[in-house]
Amino acid sequence: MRLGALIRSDLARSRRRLVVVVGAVASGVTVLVLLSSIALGIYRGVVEPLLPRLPLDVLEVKPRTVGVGFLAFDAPGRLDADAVASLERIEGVAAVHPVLGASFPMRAEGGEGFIGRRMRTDVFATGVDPSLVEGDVAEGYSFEDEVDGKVPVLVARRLLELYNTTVAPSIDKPRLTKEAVIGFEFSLTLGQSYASGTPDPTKVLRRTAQIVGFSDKANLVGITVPAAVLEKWNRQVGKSSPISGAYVKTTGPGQVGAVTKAIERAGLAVDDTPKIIGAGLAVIGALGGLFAMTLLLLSAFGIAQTFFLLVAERRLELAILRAVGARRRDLSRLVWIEATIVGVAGGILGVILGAGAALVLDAAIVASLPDIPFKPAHVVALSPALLFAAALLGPVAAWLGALVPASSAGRANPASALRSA
Amino acid sequence: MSEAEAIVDLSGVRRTFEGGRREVLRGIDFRLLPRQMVALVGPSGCGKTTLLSIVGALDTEFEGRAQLLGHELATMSDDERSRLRATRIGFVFQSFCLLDHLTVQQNVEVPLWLRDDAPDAASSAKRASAVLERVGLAGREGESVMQLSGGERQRVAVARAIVNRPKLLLADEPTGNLDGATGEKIFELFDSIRTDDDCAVLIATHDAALAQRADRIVTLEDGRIVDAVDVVPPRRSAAP
Repeated sequence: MRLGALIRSDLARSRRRLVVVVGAVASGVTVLVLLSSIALGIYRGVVEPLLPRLPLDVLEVKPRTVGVGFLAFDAPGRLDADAVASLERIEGVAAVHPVLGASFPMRAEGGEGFIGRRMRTDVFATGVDPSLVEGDVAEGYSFEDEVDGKVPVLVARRLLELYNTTVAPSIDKPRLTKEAVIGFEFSLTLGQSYASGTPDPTKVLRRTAQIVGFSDKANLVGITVPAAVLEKWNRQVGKSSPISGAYVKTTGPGQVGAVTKAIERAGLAVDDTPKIIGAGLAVIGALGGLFAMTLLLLSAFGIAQTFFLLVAERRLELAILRAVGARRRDLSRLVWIEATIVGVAGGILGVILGAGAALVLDAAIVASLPDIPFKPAHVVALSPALLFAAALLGPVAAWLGALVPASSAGRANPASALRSA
Repeated sequence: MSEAEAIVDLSGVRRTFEGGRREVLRGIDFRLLPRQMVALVGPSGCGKTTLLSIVGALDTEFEGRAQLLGHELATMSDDERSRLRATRIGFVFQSFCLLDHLTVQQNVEVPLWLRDDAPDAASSAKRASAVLERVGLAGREGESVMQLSGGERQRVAVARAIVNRPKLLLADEPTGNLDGATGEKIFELFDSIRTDDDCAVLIATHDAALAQRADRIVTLEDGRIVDAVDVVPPRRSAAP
């Protein structure tokens, strides 16, 4: 069976109408490619860099507080060693890393090398399990214990950003890079505070701290040291080792919902940022899917309408073909193939136009952005998988649209059609 | 040729429309033998086209028994009937029923394209050219059928009907849209196909003069065969 010539001539004589359908499919695919590339650009430019800071499989747990007047009190559901043990027993939890608090005041001095004069301030410390932040420690440094009298400390990434955006301009000092700050040393006085004095003069220790890295799990208003170090300091200078929070690593992002509920049932609070990001991604995905589905159905509707008309107009021709030996499925196949050609052409054209529009938009937006420190190189992103999926939308719409017309073509009744010829 | 080898053998064929309210064929008994040319005559609406549709395996919603080239039409699948039409039956219609968007040659090639064992493009074109030469349209292969006269269009239709070397040629008012001289030529063509290609021909026609050129004239009235006469002595064998 050779239907090529028939298909070619059918396409040629219906070209004007089919060009409109190809254009409609291409428009849908173009818009899809454009929006998807923008969404992908946002994902790669914003969400992806954020994910390592807020891994979706790690939950930050805190004691729940209740506000009474202007004071906040711990709500029932304390975060202590027993609570940590019960967190570890929750199904879907891979590990629990408690964050220790300090039970003593502390002050820091130093900074001549950076700002030209000695700075003095109270600081607050937390202690974390080194395994929780091992990826944040700079190369060549260790975050295990005091080495040669130096305590390794981590500082919050946002603290450096705050310094660069707020402090440095106000004191007319240059901004600092992470590399410049790594290795920086300053003095710590444990058991003394500029604000609250010296609670117990017999319990004062002096240490040298060295910044060994930046971490999003570090204390935002102070320093973070290895949990073992803070535990030791609490014993020497303070009273107990309070647990100020915990990081709960789940067995996977899929377990986050169930683990969150279990933690909240235990009376503890969960930082819902990952949940919000997860929900946001889910909403974006659902909207994208809905949009793609709408385009698919609209394209399919356009194709169906056109091929319905074509089949109706060709009723006599289809009957003639049946009379001279075409099978029902041959006629259906004619419609399928023609619709597929239209769909593929629309899909490919749409991808070309969409990718072109995305690149033009990318260049225009990037050129219009001011010269900010974290200026993105691209605001839209194209991936082969995205383009392939978008191109596939054309034939899929064509097949959906051709379903009924193809079946209708196959049902052409040669006897009745020829009787009325 | 024995009677058992009839090309068409109808027995008690009835066909109704509109849910049985309108009876178009009322018990037709009819046989068509190899190389026989039969003219089917009768007034409009007497059932000639319906009978041709049944004989041509286009219409299967009939009652009675219908055998075509030894096949029981009622028990054949749609695909089998299509294959039979593609390879063993040729159709010629009053209004030509050509595919206007195709060239002369492409129209003739269509039945070749639809075969399961479709020949390659070169063989197909060669076969179409040979048939077009036979119907007097040599050198017109590349023309659009829209540019042809009525007689030429009907010749293209005849060429399309015989391109697969059928055993049965069915023609429904083939000269209805042609002048007398052109109609005469088409009939001559049918006669040559019958004799040269060993092909039986069944023609529905209003043209009494041309009907006289057939071997046998069968008259249909109100869905019944009311008369069947041999015009000339049958060349091979007599039909009952």
